[in-house]
Amino acid sequence: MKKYALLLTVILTGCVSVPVERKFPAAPGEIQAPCADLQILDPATTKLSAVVETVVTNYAQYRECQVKTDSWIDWYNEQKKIFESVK
Amino acid sequence: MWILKFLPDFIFHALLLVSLLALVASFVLDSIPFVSTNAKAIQLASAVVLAIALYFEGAISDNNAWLARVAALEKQVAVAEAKSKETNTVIQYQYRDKVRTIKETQVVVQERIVKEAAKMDAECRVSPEAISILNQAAGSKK
Repeated sequence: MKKYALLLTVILTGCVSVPVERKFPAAPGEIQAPCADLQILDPATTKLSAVVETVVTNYAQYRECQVKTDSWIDWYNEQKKIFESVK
Repeated sequence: MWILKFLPDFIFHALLLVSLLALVASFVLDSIPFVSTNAKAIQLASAVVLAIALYFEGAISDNNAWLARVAALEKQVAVAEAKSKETNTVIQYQYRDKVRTIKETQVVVQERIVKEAAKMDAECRVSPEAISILNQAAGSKK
């Protein structure tokens, strides 16, 4: 009788596994690169043009980094919307 | 349920049908000698088999419902993955476009610096303290 009970238990056992695999989306490689360091002035320079040039370069670097951050925000919001659309 | 993976569905359909027929036969076919003498045993055995077959019919139905849900979800995931790739492409294009604009502006500004450098340097001399302050501000990454 015990053997039958054991056999019945084994036969009626259900196994639950998640058959649908979801991959985490990869972000574009370009926006994954870290922002460059700001440029430093030559300590010996007294020329205003050298200062302005460095400041302008740093502004451009900041703008690039800003675009990168904005892209990450867009990427996150869009991917979140797509992720939540699967139910 | 693992046993449903090994045994085809028709076995359980057949079990259900046979047990049902046996149960009905044990009540109806009294004229047949074998049935009339073993009616109780046939009834008991067919009732047990019928119960098991009914259980598995339910399991098959439940399993099929889950398989349908999995298929639907797989389709949704595939669509989402395609959308995700498309979004990445759009964001990549937008990023490249904006960076190109920044670089172009930078080139124009640097050309202006070159043009105005002599005038700027003639009118203004930057003190080492100002350079030191700017470098300190630019260098403090942490």
